[in-house]
Amino acid sequence: MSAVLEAHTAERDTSGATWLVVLQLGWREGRRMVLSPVLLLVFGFFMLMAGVETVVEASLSLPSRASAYDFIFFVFALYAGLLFYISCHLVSSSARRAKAEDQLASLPLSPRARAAGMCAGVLLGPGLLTLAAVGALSTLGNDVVLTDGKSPVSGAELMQIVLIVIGGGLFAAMVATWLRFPGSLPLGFVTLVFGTVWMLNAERDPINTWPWFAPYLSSYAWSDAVWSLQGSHTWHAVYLAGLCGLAFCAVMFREREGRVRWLFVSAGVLAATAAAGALQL
Amino acid sequence: MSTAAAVIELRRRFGRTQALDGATFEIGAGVTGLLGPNGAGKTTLLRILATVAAPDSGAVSVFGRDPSAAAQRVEIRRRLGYLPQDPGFQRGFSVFEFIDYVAILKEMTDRQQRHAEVRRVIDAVDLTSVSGKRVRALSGGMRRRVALASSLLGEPQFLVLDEPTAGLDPEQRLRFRELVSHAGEGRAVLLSTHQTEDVAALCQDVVVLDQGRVLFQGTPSDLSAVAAGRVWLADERVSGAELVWRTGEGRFRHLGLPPSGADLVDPTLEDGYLLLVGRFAEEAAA
Repeated sequence: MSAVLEAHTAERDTSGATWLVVLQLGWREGRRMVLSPVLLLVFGFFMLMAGVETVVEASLSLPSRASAYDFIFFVFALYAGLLFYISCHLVSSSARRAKAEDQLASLPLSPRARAAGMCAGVLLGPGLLTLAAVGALSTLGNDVVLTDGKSPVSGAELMQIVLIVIGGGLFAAMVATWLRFPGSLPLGFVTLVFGTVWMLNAERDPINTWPWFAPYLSSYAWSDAVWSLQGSHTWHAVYLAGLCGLAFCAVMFREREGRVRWLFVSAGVLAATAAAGALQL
Repeated sequence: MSTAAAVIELRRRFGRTQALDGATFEIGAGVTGLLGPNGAGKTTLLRILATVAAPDSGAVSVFGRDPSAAAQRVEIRRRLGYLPQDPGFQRGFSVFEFIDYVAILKEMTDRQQRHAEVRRVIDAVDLTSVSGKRVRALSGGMRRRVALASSLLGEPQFLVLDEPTAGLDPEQRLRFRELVSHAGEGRAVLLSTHQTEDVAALCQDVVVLDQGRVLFQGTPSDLSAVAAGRVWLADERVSGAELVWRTGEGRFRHLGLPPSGADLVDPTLEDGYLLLVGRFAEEAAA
């Protein structure tokens, strides 16, 4: 072996470097998820609609605290999870769709570490953006009177918004990782929407607890419900965090090597999620 | 020859197609050319050496490491640069962003050093003027150079290039030769191509693959010598030759057994390759 070749066959100590790479990759992927053209288009549409409403109502003044709260709340609580599902799926499946997988497969960062980078991207992109939005809601205060007469939601419910958005992104990463074929985006979208709607619309009687298990904001899951079942918003937030953890485990479980470890981790997260699911009721 | 990579009795089947059928050879420092007709198994072989695919049977070793073992595979990948036959590019990336993205996946964590390296490889393939442009907006040849640049990141010790000059203009091909020649100094480059001129100009060693088997391994002059005494020029087309074509000067170049008194000429690497592959095809058909 030549001297130069010999010099480069020595082992490199890269212990600890992988997580740094995953974080850097996550930051990059998160930016792609947030700046997805699809997302910018839809958010642009929301802004336009808000502007039109202001003009139509001839209230050409600056939006009130209540209307700003309303706008941010509804965009993030109702739509952001689904919108980030789309952008996160597009980013997660981009290598497959661009037929760039051969190139990426020859690089030292393992597919599992790349998948972890994608999940980190969900936290660092959509997650941080939603956290900022939730921060804005907190800043707007708890004393605002909303247009529908409701009070602003609690801190635990605000955290649920962040977890719903992160959950949408991680669910997208899971769908893109496991269903590697064209059409997996709409398939996952339809499953997510109709699954949630089904749970929310399940027959409401005192013993039916399905709405609590919906990956949805707890106060809106039963706000107009006629049944009197009570539950904990905080435990619902923990339950949602558990669902996020399960989606993450499912992404990590895709690679064969080291599956046993992830099987144990998944079992632990599943047990914790089930416990939180029971405790929320 | 110092060994950078070796394959022994490599076999790989896709359905009814036997892509590799017992291929065995070694690659040392310097540039090795891989020649073969379409469907010879070149891309499959390169994908296996690039640790992207696994063989059905046989042994692979890169820098003495076995790619079937996970930890050793990572060590190989840290020393590897791979340009696939059809490189893909994710939508929305500029040239700089794409190569920077690959650099992150190559575990280059220091941002400043990474960006300097990205700029270096972009300059090496002469794309500095378009580094801010979207990759998908570039021509096919330029996109190929983007992929080539990404394979050069970190000065890999083993560079696997699958038809790198496809779609490049003559000036870029010369630039490419300069690049690969530099990359092959003290390191190993495996270059799969249909351009025999590139092999003659660049390679210290040549491997000819057909129907998944290695037909030849030697120097370019050894391959040319396969056709020694079997290439001649005539004013008319002579029947019985294996291959005949009219040259730019208007004479007919013949490959095969020459008649007595034929005007023999020095064979080129291409002559040797054509005779070798043609003869093998005849034997296989028989």
